[in-house]
Amino acid sequence: MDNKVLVILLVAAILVSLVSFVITLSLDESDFVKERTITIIKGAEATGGTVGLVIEPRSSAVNNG
Amino acid sequence: MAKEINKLGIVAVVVLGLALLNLGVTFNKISGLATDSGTANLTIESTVNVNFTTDNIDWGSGVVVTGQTFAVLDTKTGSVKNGNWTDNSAGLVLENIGNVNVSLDILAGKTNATFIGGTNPDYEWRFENSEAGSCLNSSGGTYAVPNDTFYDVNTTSGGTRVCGIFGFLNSADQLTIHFNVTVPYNAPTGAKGDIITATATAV
Repeated sequence: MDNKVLVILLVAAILVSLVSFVITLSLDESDFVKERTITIIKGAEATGGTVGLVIEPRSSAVNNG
Repeated sequence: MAKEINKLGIVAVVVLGLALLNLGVTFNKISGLATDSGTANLTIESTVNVNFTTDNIDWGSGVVVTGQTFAVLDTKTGSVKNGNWTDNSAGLVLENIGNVNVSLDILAGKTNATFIGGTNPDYEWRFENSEAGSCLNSSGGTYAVPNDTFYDVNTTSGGTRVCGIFGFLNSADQLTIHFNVTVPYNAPTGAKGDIITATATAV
């Protein structure tokens, strides 16, 4: 094999190794552990009740007395 | 030729060094993770939820009896005086169905004048524990508001802070709201209705 080809291959190997090295250095635990954030909601909630009656006209009054 | 071999040898040694360094760092990181301790976390979310389990008071139709100037409808005593409306003794029942203690504010939509009208109408409420210890003040003591008497409903935005702590445990999570309504003989006729709003906030 031509020496120039060998040099090119070796330089390429150096570059690949360097890139791999940088990537390895940049890894940390967060790349392996998946975290899930859960938001706790402390809100307010409203609900309604109803109060009702019907007032009839006096002409339909009953006399309990 | 010998110089070429020397150059290639230097380059080869550099590549080998880098590869070995890379290998070492990788092993170091992976072995660190392999021996590291893991933590399993879970979070129980807070659910703030209150519900009117009895959500309607309906006294039906009626009138102030002839000769009387007013009628009194009272859910505490379950009675109607001087009128022929239908008795109601249940009141409104509110339950904390969430999983956290909450503060509780109660708001009426109408005043005595806008709800009933006429001369000297009354529209009052009172609060009672349906289950002992349900409604506490913010310090964990008894009621934040008087519970032994009726007083005028509150229509001011935000309402009345009834409970500083409204519990969620099933044995102590219910509150009853009783109403006392005075209907004057000259109140405008027709259907009368109001909405009571309960607002709960996690504490």
